[in-house]
Amino acid sequence: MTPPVRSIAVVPDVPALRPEFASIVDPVPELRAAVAAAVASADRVVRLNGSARRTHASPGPFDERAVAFDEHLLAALRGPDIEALHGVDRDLARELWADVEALGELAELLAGHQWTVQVEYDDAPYGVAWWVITYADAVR
Amino acid sequence: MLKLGHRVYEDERPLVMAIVNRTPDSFYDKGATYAEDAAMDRIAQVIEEGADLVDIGGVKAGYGAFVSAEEEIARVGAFVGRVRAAHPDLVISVDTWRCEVARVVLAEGADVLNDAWGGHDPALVDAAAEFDAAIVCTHTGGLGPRTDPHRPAYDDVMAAAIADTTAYAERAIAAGVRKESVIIDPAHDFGKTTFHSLEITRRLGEMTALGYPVLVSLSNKDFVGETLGRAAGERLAGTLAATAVCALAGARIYRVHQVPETRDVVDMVWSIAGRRPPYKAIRGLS
Repeated sequence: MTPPVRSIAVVPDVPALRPEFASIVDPVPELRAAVAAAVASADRVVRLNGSARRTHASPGPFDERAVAFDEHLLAALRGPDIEALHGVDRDLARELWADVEALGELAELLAGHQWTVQVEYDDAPYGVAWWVITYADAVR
Repeated sequence: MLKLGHRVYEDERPLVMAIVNRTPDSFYDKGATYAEDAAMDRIAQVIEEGADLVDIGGVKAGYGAFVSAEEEIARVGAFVGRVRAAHPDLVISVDTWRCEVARVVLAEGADVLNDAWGGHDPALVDAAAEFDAAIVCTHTGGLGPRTDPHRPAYDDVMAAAIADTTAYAERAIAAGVRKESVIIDPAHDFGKTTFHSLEITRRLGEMTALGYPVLVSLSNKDFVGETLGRAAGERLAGTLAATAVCALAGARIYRVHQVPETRDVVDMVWSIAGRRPPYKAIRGLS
């Protein structure tokens, strides 16, 4: 029998975090620390991120809808608002270069439980919305 | 492992050796750091620019006024002590072929003897051993100190450079110099035509494959000038091109006038070769 999931970490799947792309000076030290801490104590890790079209310095061409999309998504994650997570517009996410394929899995994991939510990281230093969010079962 | 006097390098990173001439007549700087304070300023500057070690010379390599051992000691002896006092961690090399000069500078705190004249003074290795210093074993094709080549000929210049430098290296080790403190140098221009220097650059991988750390001294030399038709002050691009080729072949130490430019070229090539991570890479990885 699969043990119950009592802690979840949401982290971005950022290639710069991988050992094969290590630099002499880490371009993402705060994110790396936050991801490492969150993943270390999580029963399950879900990888997703917001838009990569937030600014003119983003990897994708600027889209004025991106920031609002990210704010809406973060609010749903922070809730967590299961219905809102299921309702995220996947087509818009694709247009905005947001990686939300795991949202369905996350919504399933979160459904039916009370969670203590901590947003450990919320920034977009290179124009991509990255979040590190931990969920701990509130009745644990 | 590489041991340069008091300093041990456990990794394989390339080292930039900055030239500091205490001469009134060297071909490139023309006496700019002959004065002691100017030389001290140059040392502080090259450290700031990223040099790993300095190479202090008291005698111009080419033809010029005779410089006695006493005069050479007057130029570099106490100066090495002053540099050591000002920069306790700095690796100090001294460019000399004379044993009596070597003993003085080693006693003053030098770490490396850079013998540009291929073991002309056979006792130099004994001084290096006595002070646990490193030594650079160069190939000159038998040319004596401060002489230019005239019609040098080799059946195979790289084979000759390998034979002579490894023989010198083995002699140094036999005299008591640590193996990890023995460096070899094919010595561009020394006892060579421009064609020879181009060939040893092209074939430097044969020398780095021997396992000894290889030093290259390319900076603004005549083979660069003759290849490109450039005067002494116009050879930076050519020097850096040769530097890149030597870096790809794995040369370990680069003796140079221009430190920041060399540092960038060597680091760039080291990264292209997969031996060094990028400084800070995020492009396409966010």
